[in-house]
Amino acid sequence: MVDNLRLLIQNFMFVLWTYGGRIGLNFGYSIPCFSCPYVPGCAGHCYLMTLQGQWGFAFYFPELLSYKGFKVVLYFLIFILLTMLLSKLWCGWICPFGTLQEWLAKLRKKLGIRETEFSWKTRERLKPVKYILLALLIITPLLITFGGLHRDFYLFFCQICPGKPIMPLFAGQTRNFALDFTNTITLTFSVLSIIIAAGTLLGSFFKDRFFCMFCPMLPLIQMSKKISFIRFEKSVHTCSGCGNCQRMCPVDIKDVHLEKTEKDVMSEDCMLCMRCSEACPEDNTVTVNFLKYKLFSSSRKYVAENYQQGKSLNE
Amino acid sequence: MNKIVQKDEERRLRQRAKAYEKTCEEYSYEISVLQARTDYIAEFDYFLDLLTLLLHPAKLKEKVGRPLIGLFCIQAPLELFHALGVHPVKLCSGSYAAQRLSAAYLPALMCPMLKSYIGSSEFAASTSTCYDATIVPTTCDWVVKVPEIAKETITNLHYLELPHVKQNEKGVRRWLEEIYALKLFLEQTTGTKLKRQDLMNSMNTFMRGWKIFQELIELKRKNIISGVWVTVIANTFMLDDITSWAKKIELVVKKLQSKQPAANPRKIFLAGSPIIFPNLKLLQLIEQAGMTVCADDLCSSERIFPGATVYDDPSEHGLLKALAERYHQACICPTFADNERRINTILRITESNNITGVIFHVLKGCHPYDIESLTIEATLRANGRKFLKIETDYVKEDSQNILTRLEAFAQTLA
Amino acid sequence: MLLYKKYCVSGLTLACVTLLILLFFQASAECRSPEDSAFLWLEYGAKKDETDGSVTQTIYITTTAAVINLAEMKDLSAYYCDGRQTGEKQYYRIPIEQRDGRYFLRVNAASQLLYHVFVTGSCQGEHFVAQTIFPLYADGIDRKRDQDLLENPKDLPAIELNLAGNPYRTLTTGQAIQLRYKSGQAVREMQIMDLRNKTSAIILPDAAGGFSFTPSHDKRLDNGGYNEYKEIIVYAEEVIGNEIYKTSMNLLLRRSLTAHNNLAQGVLLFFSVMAVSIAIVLFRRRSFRYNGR
Repeated sequence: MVDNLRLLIQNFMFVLWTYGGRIGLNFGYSIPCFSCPYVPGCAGHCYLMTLQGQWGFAFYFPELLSYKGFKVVLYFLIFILLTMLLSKLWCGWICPFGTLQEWLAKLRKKLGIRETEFSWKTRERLKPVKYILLALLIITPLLITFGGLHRDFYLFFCQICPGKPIMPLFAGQTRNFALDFTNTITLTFSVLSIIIAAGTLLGSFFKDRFFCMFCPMLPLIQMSKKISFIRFEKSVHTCSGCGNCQRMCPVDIKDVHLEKTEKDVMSEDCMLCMRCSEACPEDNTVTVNFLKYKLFSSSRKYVAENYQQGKSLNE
Repeated sequence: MNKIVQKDEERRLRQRAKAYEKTCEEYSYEISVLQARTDYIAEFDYFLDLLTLLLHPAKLKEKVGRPLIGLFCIQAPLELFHALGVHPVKLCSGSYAAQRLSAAYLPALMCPMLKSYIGSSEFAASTSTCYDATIVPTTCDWVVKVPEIAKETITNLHYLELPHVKQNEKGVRRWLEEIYALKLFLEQTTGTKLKRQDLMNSMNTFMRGWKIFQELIELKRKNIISGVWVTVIANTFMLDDITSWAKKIELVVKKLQSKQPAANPRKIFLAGSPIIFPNLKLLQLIEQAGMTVCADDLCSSERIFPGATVYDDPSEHGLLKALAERYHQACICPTFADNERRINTILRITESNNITGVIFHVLKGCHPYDIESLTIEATLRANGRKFLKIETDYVKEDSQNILTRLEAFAQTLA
Repeated sequence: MLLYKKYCVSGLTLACVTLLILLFFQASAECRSPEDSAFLWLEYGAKKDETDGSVTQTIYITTTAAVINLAEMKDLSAYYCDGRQTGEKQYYRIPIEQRDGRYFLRVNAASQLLYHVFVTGSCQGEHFVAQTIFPLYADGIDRKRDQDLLENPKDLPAIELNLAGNPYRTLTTGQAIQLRYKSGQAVREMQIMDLRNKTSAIILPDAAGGFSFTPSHDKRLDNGGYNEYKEIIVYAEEVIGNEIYKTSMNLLLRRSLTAHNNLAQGVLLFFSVMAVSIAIVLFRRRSFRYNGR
């Protein structure tokens, strides 16, 4: 079953990104998922850190055409290339922070606790948060370089990201759980960081993929939707409107269910976990394609054979 | 005065007894017609036996060993009943003799299926004690009023107020509340509390049944089994414990799997008002006209239960939500206001199975399907399908008329 | 008349000599601040990011102009070695430049390098050595550099810094810094001087002959950000026969990374936020309780 395969790959990727650096793996500094650089021994840097670190300095105009400016562009191009190749698969299949959230969700399911639901309106209201975070993330380095903002605002998003305290725990590092009393700004950031980390962990327990609703990586990957090799499409003429896709979606996307005219249904929140595709009981209605090759397409037989055949509370 | 009243009463009782006799005759006749078919196999016997149980609910109750709950339509989640240890039975009736009994005092334009039900509810055999409760989803106008007319025989009534707009949050939430109300009602009626594991087991059981039913439908698409038999089998749904029923279907599937599909260029898709045993008139006429029903989306046939109740959240709330949403949003009954994607089912199936003709069956008095046929006809014609609307009743007199029209239609398909 | 003149001239000469001697001794008596002491030290200038990705650090060679004139210094030379090398270290010359009367040198790195910079010179029987150690991080285009290898590095006394604890990061306040005086003889004491605050202290060697001190935390650095730095000059003086060896090292200090961290409070905050959030979620989330018919 696709979901089981995804879980397997996610677990493998978690180990890879968290411990890969220790065996010498380094996949670069433009990774489109939360492979946190604060983890000692990580196998690549999350692109958000590169974006925050390089962005401000690259805008010294005389240096824009220099080697330094070139490096910023290079990292950006590598990022675009990686997102073109795998698009949102980075989110749903590879991101270790996403995997962590799914483990928490599994724990909740095992305990039989119901998932917290947001009303459609509330869910819509939460969507702009990721754009705000992305904007702050990009503007802050410019403000530091040109606007005289205090240097301790450096790596603004990294300092409040829940990945910073939580992910290094898996490598035995608890340093980022400390409150930093060096000055007011560091203290504020460390307090915020811990509050956000606690809130995220708790939120992820009660709601599937809680943090992914706010992740600024999503708009960056969504940017290359039109040029990506991965296509997420719906055949609107064979959809019977049953709503299975909306029910199964971990990030509460309504677009796949309610879309009646457009073929492309890769919405901004989508993580390509393909649960909607698996749950769709009409043949070839929700499809994920890589170039011309069909990665997965919905089918009635698949639903009949894979769902609730002998499931019990123990699963 | 008393004498007149008494005479009246006696006459009525005689009428009822006669109607009951006629109904039983009707059932036996139709069963014998089925048995006499050329494609009859021994495995169908089980289903034919079940059909008579509709007239003897007490026997049904004994057979399944659980209290019976009467139901209309297909929106109430059957798994919920199963998990609480009760057995839901559809009360829709297809008997012409029963219809005639009640047609005397019911409006002429009323849904014949419900007239038939009201008539059959007056039979002595179908006493109210057989059903512990009756669940009525407020789908069409007639079914909403049925309990008022048949109030002597409908016991322990519970309405499920069906939101007719199903694609917005309000409708989804309201229906979920109805399901919770249903759960509460059933818990009070049965005196047991719903357990999460039981509900999950019921959902598993029904999914397995659905899976096997889909295999049967596959055979129908390939024209290995006739559409008449599939409708008959679907009509016996919930006349026995679902696991045994599913096993018997498996036997049929196994027996017929290896057969070669018969070629027939005159495949048609049947849509519209439900066809309920023993009213197999239209199906038989279609066959007589040389066409085969390779697909249908009748709520008494292929859509008898929605299946595919997938869930993500396995808590009790999540399971109930999955059931509620599946039985609500996946239902393409024309009673819904925002049902425009209903046409996709017809388009999809006719496209993938090379079916060119669509026959739309409307029962006289069935307003939702009647109105729906307008837009459906327009869209299907625009998509290159042949369309024929047949408006009929339970009467047999118009058979020849219909047959002529069907034969003419069949010519256009070739 | 002649006798009177002779007495005047001799008296005057004597006075002058006495004055000179007194001045000389006066000058050397209170040499406790860098301005008074006559030695050489290095000060950090600007660090510039070049367009090709390399980094250039400017270092000023400083002294008290009144006492020592750099122009008069014999064989003033500067060289560096890569602190990451183990075993036999290779020293490369750095050209000393001059502008507006100030002497300085510039080092450039295109990759990561740990610089040990030495500036040596001598004047009137005094031998001066000024050192500093700092890392440069750069990620630029690798270019072949003309390295001027120093054939025979002079064997001069030097202050050694123990970098065992932090191979690459800079020194921080609140960190115990261990120094050793490398030479034939041991040195009695070392002076620690803070240039900006104009303070100084004396540290004495421990039993094994090593020196250690812990610079205190500085509010200016804490509030200023990670890139703010302060310079501490370590000065040691050794007399061998008629030669005086004056050695200094400039320690670049940044604010401490972990000294102000409080893990216990952070963990406490974490769990209390968790508890509060659980309470909020469980009591405030929408529920489906259906109570009526």
